[in-house]
Amino acid sequence: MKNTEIAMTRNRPYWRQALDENWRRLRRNPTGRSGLILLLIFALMAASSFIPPLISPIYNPMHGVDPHISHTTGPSLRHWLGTDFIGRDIFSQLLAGARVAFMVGITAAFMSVVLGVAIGILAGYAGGWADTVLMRLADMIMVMPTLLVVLMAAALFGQLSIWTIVAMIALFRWPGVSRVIRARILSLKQRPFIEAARIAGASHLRIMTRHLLPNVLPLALLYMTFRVTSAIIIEAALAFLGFGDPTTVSWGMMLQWVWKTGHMFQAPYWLLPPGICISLLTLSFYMLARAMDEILDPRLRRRGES
Amino acid sequence: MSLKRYIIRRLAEMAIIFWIIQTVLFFLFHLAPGDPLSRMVDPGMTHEEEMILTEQLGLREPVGTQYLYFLGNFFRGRFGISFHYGRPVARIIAQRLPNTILLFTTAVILSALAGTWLGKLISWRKENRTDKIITVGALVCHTLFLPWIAMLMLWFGAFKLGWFPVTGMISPELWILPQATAPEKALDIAWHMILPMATLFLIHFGSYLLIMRSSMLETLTEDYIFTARAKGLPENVIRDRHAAPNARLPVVTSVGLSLAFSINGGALTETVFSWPGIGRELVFAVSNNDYPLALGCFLLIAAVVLAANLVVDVLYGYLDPRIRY
Amino acid sequence: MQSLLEVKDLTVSYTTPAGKILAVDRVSFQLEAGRSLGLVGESGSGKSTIGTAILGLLADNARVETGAIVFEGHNLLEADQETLRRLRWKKISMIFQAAMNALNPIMPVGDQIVEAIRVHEPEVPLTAARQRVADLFRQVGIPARRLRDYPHQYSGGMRQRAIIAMALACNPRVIIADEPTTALDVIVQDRILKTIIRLQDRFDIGILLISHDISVTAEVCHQIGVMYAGQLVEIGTKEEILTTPAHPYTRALLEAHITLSNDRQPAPVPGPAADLHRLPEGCRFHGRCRRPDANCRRQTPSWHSLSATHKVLCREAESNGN
Ligand SMILES: Nc1ncnc2c1ncn2[C@@H]1O[C@H](COP(=O)(O)OP(=O)(O)OP(=O)(O)O)[C@@H](O)[C@H]1O
Ligand code: SF4
Ligand SMILES: [Mg+2]
Repeated sequence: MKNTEIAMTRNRPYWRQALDENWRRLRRNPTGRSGLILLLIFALMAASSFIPPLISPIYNPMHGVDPHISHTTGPSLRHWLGTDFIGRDIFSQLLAGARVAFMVGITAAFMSVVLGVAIGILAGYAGGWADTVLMRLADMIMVMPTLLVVLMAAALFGQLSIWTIVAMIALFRWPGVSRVIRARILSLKQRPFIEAARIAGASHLRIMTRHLLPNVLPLALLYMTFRVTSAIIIEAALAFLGFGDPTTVSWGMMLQWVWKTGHMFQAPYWLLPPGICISLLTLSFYMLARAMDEILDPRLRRRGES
Repeated sequence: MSLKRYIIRRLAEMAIIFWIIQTVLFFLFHLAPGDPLSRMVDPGMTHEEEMILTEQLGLREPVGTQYLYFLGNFFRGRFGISFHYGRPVARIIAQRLPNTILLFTTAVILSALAGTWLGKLISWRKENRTDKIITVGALVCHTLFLPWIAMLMLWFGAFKLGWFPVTGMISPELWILPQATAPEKALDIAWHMILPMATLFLIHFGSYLLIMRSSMLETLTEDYIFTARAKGLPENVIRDRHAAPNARLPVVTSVGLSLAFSINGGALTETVFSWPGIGRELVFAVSNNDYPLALGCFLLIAAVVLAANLVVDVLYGYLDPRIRY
Repeated sequence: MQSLLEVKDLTVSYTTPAGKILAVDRVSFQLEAGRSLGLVGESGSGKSTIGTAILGLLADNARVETGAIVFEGHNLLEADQETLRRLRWKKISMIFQAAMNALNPIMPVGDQIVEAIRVHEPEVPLTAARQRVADLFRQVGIPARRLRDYPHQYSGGMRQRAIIAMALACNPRVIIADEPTTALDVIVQDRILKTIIRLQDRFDIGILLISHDISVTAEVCHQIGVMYAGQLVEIGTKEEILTTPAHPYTRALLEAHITLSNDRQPAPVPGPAADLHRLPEGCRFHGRCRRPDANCRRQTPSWHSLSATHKVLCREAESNGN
C-alpha cells in the first residue's frame, strides 16, 4: 500500500486488511462456503422475481390468475410448480417470497443490531444508573416472546404493514445484541488506548463512535447475521398465522394458504416449496453466522489454522 | 437459607417486571385506535350483563381509576369475559395452561436430555464423519420452519401412515364412555401428543445438540481435563464425569435465554395441531378480536416465561457449586 | 546402573500455522529414585513439553520426532494407550500449577483424589480410599474436614497442597512438578517446597521439578538442568551449577536472580527471548551471550564434560580448556 494512502486514512488500511483476511477465511470455511452459495441462489431468486409478471400478467404472484385454471393444479410446463387454490402461479410466488424474506430479514436484523449496538455501547461506556436501567429494560424485553408480542399488536392496531412488522421485530430483538456488545465494551474500556484517547481530549461521543464502535463492528456483523434468521422466521410465522401484510406474498403466507384452504394433504407440490425455502434460507444465514463465529472467536478456532 | 433469600429477591424482581408489562399493555389498550370499552365488553352481551361487567372492571371510571381496577381485578383472577366463549377468561386459561405445560415441558426436557447426550458423544470424536453428519443434521433441524415441519408431520404421520390423530388432545368418543379408565385416557393423550411433541422435539433437539457440542469442545481445552487424563482415567469417565457436567452449564443458561423464543414455537405447534393450549388460544383470540381472552393469555404466558426463567436459574445454581446466592 | 527414568535424545515438534517448531531438541537426562532433578529455563524453552511427553499427553499438534523415554526399563514412547493410561498416576504423577484450573470446579476436591485411587486400585473399598485421602491431607497440612469442599472454597496454597496430596495418592515412583509454586506468595511457596522435600524423603520418589526460577530448583533438587530454546544447555549437581556454572546463560540466570533476590522474583535474562520460529545459526544463545566469539555464529556447540556429573553445551568451555 502506498504511503500517502496510509497517511490519509489512518484506520482504514487496517480495517481493509482485517476484512479481506476474514472474507478469505470465510470462503475457505466449509460451513461458510455452503452458506454463501445457498445465499447466492436465493439472492438470484429474489433478483429475478420481477421477471415472471413481465412475461405474462398471469404470472403476477398476487393478482395473476390463470384464466383457464380456478383451482390448484400440479406442476406443468405452463406453471412449473403448479398453481394455488385460485390459479395463481406458485413459482412466481416463490420468487416474490424470496425478495420479501431478504427485505424483512436484512432490514429487521440491521435495525435491531443498530439499536443493540448503540444501547450496548452506551450502557457499557456510561456505566452507573444508565447501565442499570438499560440492562433491566433488556432483561424485560428478553422474556417477551416476539411473535406473540407482534400478535398482540395486531390485535390492538389491526392489520400490520410489512414495515411495521419489521420495526416491531427490530424493537424486540435488540437485547441479546446489546448484552454481548456491552460485555465487550466493558473489557475494551480497560484498555490503554481508551485512556489515551481520553487524555488526548477526545469527547465521549468521539470515544464511543471512533474508538469503541470499530472494535465491536465484527461482533455486530456476526449478530446481525444471526438476527436475520430469527427475523425471517418471525415474519414467516406471523404470515402463516394470518397476520402478515396482505399486500405482499411471502413464503409464510403461501403456507397459510395451503393450510387454511385445506390442501395440506392433497397438494405436496404446493406445501413443500415455501417450507423448503424458509428452512434453507434461514439455514444458510445460520451457517454463515456460525462460520463467522468460528473465525472471529479465536478460542474456537481450530488449531493449525491461524 | 440464602437460596430462599435469592428466590424471594428474584420473585420481587419478577413482580416488578410483570407489573411493568401489565401497565404497558393496559395503556396500549387505551391508546389503541377505537373505543377501549368495546375491547372489554362483548358487543353481543345483554344490557344487564354489560352493566355488571362494566361495574366490575370499572370501565366507566376515569383512566387512572380503571388502571387500579385492572390491577386489583388481576390479583382477584378477574380477567374479564371471553367474547367467544362467553365465560370468564380465568377459567378458560386455567383449563388450557396444564395442556400447554404438559406438551411444552415434556418436549423441552426430552430434547434437552437427548440433545446434550448426543452432543456430548459426538464432541468426543470431533472432526470425524459421524460428527460432521450429525452436526449438519442438527443445523438443519434447528433451522427448520416449525409450522411447515408440523404440517409435514401431519401429512406423514396422520395422513400417509394414518397412525396418529390429525388434531386435538383427546378422542371425545373415548372420554364419554363411562367405563374408560384413567390409564386408557392417559394413553389417549399420549397418542395425541406424539406428533406435536415430535415437532417441538426436532426443533429443540438440534439447538441443544449444537450448544452442547461447542460447549464440550470448549471444556476440553480446560486444565482440569488435562488433569483427568494425567490421572489415567478412562476416556468415558473423563467425558461423563469431568467434561460433560461442566459443559452442561452454558447449555442450561442458553435454555433459559431462548425460552421466550421457544414459546413462539410452542404457540405455532399448538395452533397447527389444534392442541388446546394457551398459545393456540392466544392466536385464536387475536384472530377473532376476543380482546379479554388475548390479554389474559398474553399476561399468563409472560408470567410463565418469567417463572421458567427463575426455575432455570435455580437449577443452574444447583448444578454449579460456585454459585452462591 | 539403570535409572528410574531416562530421557534419551528426546525431540518434540509442534506444527503451527507459521510452520513447524522444535520445542524440545535432543534432550537427555536421567532421574534416580529418591533424587530430584530441576529443569530451569525461561518461558517457552520447552520444559513443560518434556513433562507432558513423559506422561504421553502431548497436544494433538505435537509429535515426538526422535528419542526414547525409558521408565523402569520400558520405552514409554512405544507403549500403547491403555498401558500408558494404567501407568499414569499409578507410577508417574504430576503436580500442576494450582493457580490454573487444574481441579474440576464442580467436583468436591476429596472426590477427585478418591477417583484417582479407585481407578488404579479398584480393589480398594471406597471408605479405605477416603481414609487414605484424609491421611494424605493431614500430611500436606489440610484439615480432613475440607475434603468435601469444592476447589473455589480453597485458598491458592491449599489448592496446591491438595494437588500434591493427589499426586501422592497412588504412591507413584516419579512425580513431575510443573511450576508447583508459581503464582503463590513467598511464604506459601516456601512451605509448599518444604512439604515436597519432606514427602520425597519419606516416599523415596523421583521428582522432576520444572521451574523458571533457579532458586526454587536450588532449594529442592539434587541436580539441575538448564534449558534454552528447546535445548538442554547445562546439567550438573546443584553444587556444580551454583558454584561453577559453565554456560553463559546459566550464569546470567544466577546473576539475574541475585540482583533481585529480595522479592524472589527472578529478573529476566537481558536480551530478546528466543524465537523458535527463527533460530539463529550456530549457538542459539549467541545473540544474548556476553562472550561470543566469531565461531559461535557459525558452529553449533557440542557437549563438554566438566566432571562425571557436569556437562555443558558451549564452545567457551572448550576454549577455556576448563
Ligand atoms: N500446543 C502447542 N502448539 C504449538 N506450540 C506450542 C504448543 N504448546 C507449546 N508450544 C510452544 O512450544 C514451546 C515450548 O513450550 P513449553 O510450554 O514446553 O515451554 P515452557 O518452558 O514450559 O514455558 P513456560 O515457562 O511458559 O511454561 C513454546 O514456544 C510454545 O509456544
Ligand atoms: S557457544 Fe558461544 S554464544 Fe553460545 S553460549 Fe557458548 S560462548 Fe555463548
Ligand atoms: Mg510450562
